[in-house]
Amino acid sequence: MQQIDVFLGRLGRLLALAASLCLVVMMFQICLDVGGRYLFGKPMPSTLEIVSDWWMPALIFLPLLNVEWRNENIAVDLFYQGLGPRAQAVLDVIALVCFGVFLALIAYAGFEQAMRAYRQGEFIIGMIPVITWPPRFFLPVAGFLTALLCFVRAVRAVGRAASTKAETSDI
Amino acid sequence: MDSITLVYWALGALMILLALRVPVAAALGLVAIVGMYILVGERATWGVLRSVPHAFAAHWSLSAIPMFLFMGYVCFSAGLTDGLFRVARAWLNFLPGGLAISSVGGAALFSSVTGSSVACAAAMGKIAVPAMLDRGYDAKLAVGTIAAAGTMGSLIPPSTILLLYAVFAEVPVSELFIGAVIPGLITALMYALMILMRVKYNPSLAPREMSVDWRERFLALGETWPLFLLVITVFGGIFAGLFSATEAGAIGALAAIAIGFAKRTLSWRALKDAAFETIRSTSAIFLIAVAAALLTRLFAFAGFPDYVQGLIGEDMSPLLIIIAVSLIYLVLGMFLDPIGVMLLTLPVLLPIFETADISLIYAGVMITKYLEIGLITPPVGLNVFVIKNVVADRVSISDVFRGVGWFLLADVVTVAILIAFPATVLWLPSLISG
Amino acid sequence: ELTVSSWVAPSHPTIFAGYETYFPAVAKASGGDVTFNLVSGGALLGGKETLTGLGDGVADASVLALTYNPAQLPTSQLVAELAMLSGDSLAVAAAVTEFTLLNCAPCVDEFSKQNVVYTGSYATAPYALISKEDVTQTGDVAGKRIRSPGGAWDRWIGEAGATVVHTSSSEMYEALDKGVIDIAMQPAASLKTHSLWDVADTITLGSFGVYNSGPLLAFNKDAWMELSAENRRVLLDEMADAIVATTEAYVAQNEDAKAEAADHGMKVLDKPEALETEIAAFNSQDIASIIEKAQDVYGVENAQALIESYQASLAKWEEITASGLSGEAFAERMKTEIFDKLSENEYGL
Ligand code: NA
Ligand code: NA
Repeated sequence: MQQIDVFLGRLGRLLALAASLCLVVMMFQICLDVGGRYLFGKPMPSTLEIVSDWWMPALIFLPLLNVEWRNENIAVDLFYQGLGPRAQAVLDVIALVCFGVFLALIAYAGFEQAMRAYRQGEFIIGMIPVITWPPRFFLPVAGFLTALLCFVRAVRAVGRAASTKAETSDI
Repeated sequence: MDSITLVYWALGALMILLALRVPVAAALGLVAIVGMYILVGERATWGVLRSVPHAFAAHWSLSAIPMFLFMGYVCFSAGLTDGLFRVARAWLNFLPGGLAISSVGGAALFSSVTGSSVACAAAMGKIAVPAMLDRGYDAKLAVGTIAAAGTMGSLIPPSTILLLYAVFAEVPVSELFIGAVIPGLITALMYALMILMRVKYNPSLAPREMSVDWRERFLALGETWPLFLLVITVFGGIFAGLFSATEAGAIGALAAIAIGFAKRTLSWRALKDAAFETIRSTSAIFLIAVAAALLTRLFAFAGFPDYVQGLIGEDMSPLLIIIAVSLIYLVLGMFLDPIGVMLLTLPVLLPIFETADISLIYAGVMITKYLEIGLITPPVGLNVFVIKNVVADRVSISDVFRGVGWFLLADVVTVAILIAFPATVLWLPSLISG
Repeated sequence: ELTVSSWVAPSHPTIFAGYETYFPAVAKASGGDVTFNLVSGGALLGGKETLTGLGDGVADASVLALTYNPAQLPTSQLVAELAMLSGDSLAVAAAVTEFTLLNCAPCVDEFSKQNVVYTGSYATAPYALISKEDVTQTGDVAGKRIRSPGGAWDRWIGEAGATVVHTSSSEMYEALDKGVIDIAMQPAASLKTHSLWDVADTITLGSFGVYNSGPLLAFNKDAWMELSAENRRVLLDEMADAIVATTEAYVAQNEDAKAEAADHGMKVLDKPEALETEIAAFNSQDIASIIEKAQDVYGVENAQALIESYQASLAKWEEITASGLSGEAFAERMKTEIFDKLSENEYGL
């Protein structure tokens, strides 16, 4: 379990690195588009399409694994801080399972859609034709891995809940 | 069980999941998925899951958000924002809570160049919140100020929401934009007054500044000129019609990187961290927005528009309609994303406004104000999440919601003024439409 | 009850004219068997994802825009490439509907592969150039950025030395205002519906043709099959009226906006001579490049035969409108010439 967690951590950083590169490329592409437009009367072809269909899904979905690995997904902590370790572990299990199930569902649905787009060779036509099926795989890939991480951590949280119970019963 | 009952059950389940500390995205998404499954069956639910998440993400109109986030993170990493609170301290030392009040002013200024409230909160959050916290401001006041002030982003023109409304209601965008100016300013004014009064009665909320002489004031300005130059270039460019919001964000980020490297205050490592933080924030925020969009689909399937129509009686007076609409939006805004709420409700509300002879310009501005309030109401407040995300562990999410409470009160006053005096909305448009 | 999705506002002609005609007529003719629940404004499906969502059964029926899905509907959307051939809205709507339903077997197959049943297309009012500066000849647009809905217009813009920008129509106002685009290619109606007269100074009317790639109401195939044959007959029978109502509403909206344009400080350039000559020249040599594009970009075979078939339909319906036929009589003609030739026991099953 621990090794899977560490491995997913490394993988998540790699995906986040890829997303960061997309961010920088997006920034440069937009700047070149503006620059080209004013300085040479020649904007970058299909900037709008590439930003929307490639860079935005990359920025949003690729970091999912890294965000969850760092426990940075947003939750509302009303009572959590005031609870004992065992109750906290139980809530952690619930939260991780819910998140994992949600991600697995949208990842699987997204995977079907991506395969369909791949088979049809999905593209859009702007100034230049832009292939749009590959970025559809960002969500399924990152979503599945993140769901896996959630389930691994849920199992460990179950262990935590059980062991804290043991400790308390010792006293 | 009829479909509206199902919606209420879904909202109840959502509250429970959130209270159990299930991540907001998962809570919204699961409730939406189960609700749709019960209501329309597996096939349609699966169809929604296949298309909505990716389609929601793959949008040009939202691309300004990561760009402004990046600009904010780079400015912060490069230390361009360090001098900012020295300036505010030097120039606003006579005001109690000067830094918070100048943040409201800054957000109003920022709102006049971006069409998105979330982008506004994100950019201001990274710049102003750490400055206030370091200075010893009360954490709840600091985060509340920016989360709330960010909501001016869609009220003060330009505004994506007003633009969409204009297309739906077929009213001139120019009149709508200009109609939102005074309500936007009233919002800022109320926020500032509220901060002023709170700090006056409870000076421990914000440290009082020493008196400063004029020489030091200009000295402080000198230190932050790169940031001011950046802001003037970026915003000036939008004002002059040279580029769009996304483009301004991209140019601003690139310029901030260039300035940071030129001043040798930005390292490659810091730049990498800024990029990582930007995409992590983008991802966490958008995942919630995607899930909220799924919940909107449940509302659409459940025939919520017809239900809204039923809530508003045929013989209601215009005043009652505006109040009923405000309540409907308050409830919807607690859970859904603003644009989703608007797409859902306008088809039924517009004919009601027209029958009751309510000016569509006035209704548009009021609806936008209500939608903006929804960004900071619990349990699902996108602006609150944005602030929580950019300040990371320094403040808890419940503290951000608590900090926002006072600003909601200020908003109630603002809305009361707008309802009591429709001229606050309609006067400026009447000047241009003749 | 059938759930209908549309991503446009209720103020759009497809809804206030098309569906307002179609839904009550179908309900009445089917004796209340078939009713509709419209979810407009994209609350269910946005433009880009509508085709797959409709096939997946998210909605039972929806408006479509073929230009969003060139990969899925390569043959059907060929008509978009032919948009500049005619500015006669009614004739175009009828010709596209006839061509797709009766003379283009691959088109019907493409829809079927998406689990969707096509039932006819509307057409908009003629497109125009809405800009800050006057356009009287092709040279005036060189180097400019032009918002276009795709198809034939993209090629014209490219040939004219300008740049294509694809923004959604709701972003046009800001794009024009902020200088992200210099020219919006839109029907005159959008001066009013999108307030473009606030941010533009000139409108150039020309023979740019009409948008013809909008199936008014395509159905999910499973939903279609579940209906009784009698009810499918009703859906087909009432379609012509709805198509004509939508198309005529577009044209009426357009005339209104044109009439008011001057009051809003717009300069109206009506078919500048130099520009018209250049467009005619473009159209005459354009067919060759369409055939080439159809093969290279879209992978459509025998494009030439399909295009000729569409041109024949178009010529036929242009003759019919030229004879003064419009409104109900025109719809009746569409019904006998097109929809009566479809069998409710075969089509779409
Ligand atoms: Na704004
Ligand atoms: Na809220």
